[in-house]
Amino acid sequence: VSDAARTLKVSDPARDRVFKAELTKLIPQLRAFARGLTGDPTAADDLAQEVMLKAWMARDSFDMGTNMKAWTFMILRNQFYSEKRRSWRQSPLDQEVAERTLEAHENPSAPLELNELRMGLAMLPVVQREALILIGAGGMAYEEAAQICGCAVGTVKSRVSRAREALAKILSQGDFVRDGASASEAMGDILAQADRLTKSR
Amino acid sequence: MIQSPKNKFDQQAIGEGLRRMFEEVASEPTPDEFLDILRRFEDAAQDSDGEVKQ
Repeated sequence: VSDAARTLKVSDPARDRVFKAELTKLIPQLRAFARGLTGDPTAADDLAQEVMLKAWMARDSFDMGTNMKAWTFMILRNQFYSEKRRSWRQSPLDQEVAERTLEAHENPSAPLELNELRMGLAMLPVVQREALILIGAGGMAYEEAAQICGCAVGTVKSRVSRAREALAKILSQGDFVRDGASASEAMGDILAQADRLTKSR
Repeated sequence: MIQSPKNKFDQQAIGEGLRRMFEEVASEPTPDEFLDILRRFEDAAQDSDGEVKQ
């Protein structure tokens, strides 16, 4: 590493202040994204806090002036999958709980109860869930979501559309059974992708 | 995509519910734990290495 490069690496207090202020503004959205992914308030806040620390540690690698929301969401997503990889084999699948609790939605046009929606979301394959949360809940652009998920824009679009369809089915019938095979296949894909991301750092 | 009118209404309700769900969390006051972390950043920024002590 040249002296010039080393000098750039030294933390700049003014830059740190800007970074911190920007990161602070993102806390509400990081918490909301984490809640949507995990479906659990405590786990979500733990995750969001972990992301703040990681973002701070990596702040020198962030290109100031670019999209910090997408950058932090990407960290959050990677952290979520790496934690999930450690625990998903031991823990029962989310949807087992959801299936027991979810009852048929009698009036499809009535405003949705958020609890029902949360349980319905938990029953979706995780890649569909994250796409729907980013686009449908977080109001992100498809391009932004694709950047965060590390996939093509078209893939995000099709995941969102499949997620919407599946969710409508779950909520109107209340007896949706997830295709276990394709779900674990999707999880396998995502773990392989997370592996590649980790190795490329 | 062609949808039946009933389904279309479902999608509206779902979209509205998703936004409400996200907004509900995003509008909560920031918990103290997060503010503590931010304070630790300030302390760390004054150290030469900038590392946050866990």
